[in-house]
Amino acid sequence: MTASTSRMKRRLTPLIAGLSIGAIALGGCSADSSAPADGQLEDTLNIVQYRVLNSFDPNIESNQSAGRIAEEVLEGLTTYVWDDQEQTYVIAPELATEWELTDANTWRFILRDDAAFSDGTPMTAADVVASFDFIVGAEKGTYKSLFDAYSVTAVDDHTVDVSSEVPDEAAVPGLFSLFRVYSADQLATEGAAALGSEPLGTGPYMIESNDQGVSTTLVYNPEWWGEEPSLKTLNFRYITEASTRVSELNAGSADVIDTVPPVLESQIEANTNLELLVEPFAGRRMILFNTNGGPTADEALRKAVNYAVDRDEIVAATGGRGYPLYGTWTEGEAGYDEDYVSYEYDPEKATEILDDAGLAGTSFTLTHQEGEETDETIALIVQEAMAAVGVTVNIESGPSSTVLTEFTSGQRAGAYVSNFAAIYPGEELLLSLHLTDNGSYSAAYGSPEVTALATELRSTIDPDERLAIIDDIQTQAIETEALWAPMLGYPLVYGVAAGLEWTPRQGNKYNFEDATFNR
Amino acid sequence: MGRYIARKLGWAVLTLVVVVLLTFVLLRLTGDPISEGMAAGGASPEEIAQARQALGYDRPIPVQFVDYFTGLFVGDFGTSLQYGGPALTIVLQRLPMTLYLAAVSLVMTLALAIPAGLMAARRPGGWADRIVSAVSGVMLSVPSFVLGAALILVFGVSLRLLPISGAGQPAAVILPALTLAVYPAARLARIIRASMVEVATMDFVRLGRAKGLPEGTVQRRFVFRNALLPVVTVLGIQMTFLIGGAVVVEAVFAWPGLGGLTTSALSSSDFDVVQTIVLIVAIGVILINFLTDVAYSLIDPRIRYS
Repeated sequence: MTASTSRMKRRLTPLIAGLSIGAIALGGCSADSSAPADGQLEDTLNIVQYRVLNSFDPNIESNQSAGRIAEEVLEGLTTYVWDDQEQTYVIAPELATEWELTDANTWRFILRDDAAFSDGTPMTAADVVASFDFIVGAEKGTYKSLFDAYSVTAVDDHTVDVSSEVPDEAAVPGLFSLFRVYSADQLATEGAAALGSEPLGTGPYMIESNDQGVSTTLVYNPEWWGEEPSLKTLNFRYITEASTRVSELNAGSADVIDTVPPVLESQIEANTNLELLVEPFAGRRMILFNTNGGPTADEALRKAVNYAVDRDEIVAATGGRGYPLYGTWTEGEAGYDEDYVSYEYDPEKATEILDDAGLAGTSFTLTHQEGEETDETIALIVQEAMAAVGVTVNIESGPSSTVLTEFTSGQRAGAYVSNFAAIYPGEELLLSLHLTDNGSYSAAYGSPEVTALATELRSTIDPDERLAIIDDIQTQAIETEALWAPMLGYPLVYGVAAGLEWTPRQGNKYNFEDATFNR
Repeated sequence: MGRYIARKLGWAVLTLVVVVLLTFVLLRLTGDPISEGMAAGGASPEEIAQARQALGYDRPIPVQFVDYFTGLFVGDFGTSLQYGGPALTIVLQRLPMTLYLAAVSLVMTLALAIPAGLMAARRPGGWADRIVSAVSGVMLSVPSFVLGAALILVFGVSLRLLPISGAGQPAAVILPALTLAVYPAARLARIIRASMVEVATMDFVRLGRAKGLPEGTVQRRFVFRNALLPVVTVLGIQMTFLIGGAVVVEAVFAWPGLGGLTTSALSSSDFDVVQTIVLIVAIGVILINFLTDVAYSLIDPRIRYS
């Protein structure tokens, strides 16, 4: 070794050593990461979910994954609870204790008198009216569209009337499970922006901190009217990468993760400290057909698609957690029947229908949203199935903002792989979008017969009568007209730490106030 | 130098105008951010048309652009559709995290590359050179998302030494910064090695040794300094990449920087946020290029701008 080499080595060695020691020390200083995470305490839960909560304003952020955090803070007039006997969701009181139809166009809600916002201000009818005005007063938004057809007035401090143009509208109590009651005082003093970032609510939890788009911490709201929850602190973080979410769960720095892809389930199942929680969900994937033009305007082709596709193959190809869907309704919805089969898998029948209709050798375009693996899988299976019966399916994909808009506006012919999950267990939302000839998709497809049934449903309150109409809608839409080729129903899959006793709800609520965590 | 700076400024302004215009037009060619979201939420075609009119999306694109462009001069960068607040505020909230990650990544790059490059250049063909070459080859081959996932599994899950995601703890920056640093460090080590080997053969280096200067002084003053120019170039490129937000790495580690914000803004057609990010990044790139030029002139006195 030369003298210069030796000197260079002497100079570099401390540098390298220093960097190494620094890295190790810093790693050691991150003892917070290896020390017991907050979730190991029984009153704190760390939740990592896929979707980001951007805003508590439902006109800005209305998707279910964000809404279920918001609805730990903000409450509606009613809520949905699972009925074990009926195996479906039923409406239950929340901020309203009772409701009745006082005349053909008016529902009267009696508000509870023990509800208060987290700053101690009692909740009154004025807050409900102010919240309604805030929601429908927006320039645009999902909730504005949902509630725009109604009006809300205060009768007294604890009574509000909801008026509808449609007589005997049965959907109102259920729809107001989605509603959010904000503080009129906060709206007046802090403005609408505050309602989107850190709203005061009447729910079991209140916002301790909200780093928009990054993390949200909720703590128990001592003003809540319900039973004090076991879990006092909920730490929400948003991680879009599924493998990172699973790693967080495996490392113990998350107690609950959502949206576990089938390919990663085994990692959770292999860890005895973790469990997979599979819950019913109103998620469905179906093929929509543009019935206003092109080959898919022909009912025979649509029925052939229904016969030709093996839905069990789709379930297997998409991870095995879902179930074959043959109708319009999914698990937990009133019209769902697990034994219902509209079109038995029968490629020969499909071929026969096509031959009789002179459609052998025809082709159509099937579009799906780019980047959605499940949609792509379904499209490929449909393509293969139709090829087997002599029909060519050309698959196209693109950003949702482009292809979905093209399809809903009627500009895109053929079929579309669609994904729909109701944000509350009410049939009217689905019918306001799909199947009717006055819904959002009506430029692409819609049925006057289904529209008539949907109109009748809106004014039907009796549960048995509603169920009969819901069945008729399914029969008309699927069996008679084949407006859809329903493909797949799928549950929600969570990864959870062992010891967490928790029943997530299908609708907009996580329901952590009823959970307990014994680590 | 004054004329040089003035010229640079002029080109910078022109570049920014072109960037803003191109981004604006390209985004609007992808469609309308209002329609899809409202349709999915149950809005009727009439409601969608009403909303488009209220928000100005029904106007011709040139009219929309003029409105947007003039708004920039008064600090109005538009409103975020997904957050509901000013787009500039949201972007500036995330920018420091991206700069922080970039800075730490840069330090790690240098800490890995310089010693490795020096060791390899010391004796070309020797054992150190071969090891550095092999290791850097592997580091150049591994995609960042694979490396990131591997680091998470080792240091986050198995050893539980470091936080896996987010930025809630000081140590949370280590894994994402290291993931970002590996590729440029490998590249830089090779460049340093090649550059130093080349410079070491030059006459002025032999002259330095002939004059009896200590080898360390020869290496430091003559060899390393003259080998720095390509290093500065690579570092400049690396910084421009990092300023834009390393989208993949930020997604893997849920790092709350511009990369993640860009992804979510694009997927939700939050045009104003996307445009603001592009504009901020363009300004950053121009600034870094300018600083790189200044660094050149500091390293090599022969380089003067006019």
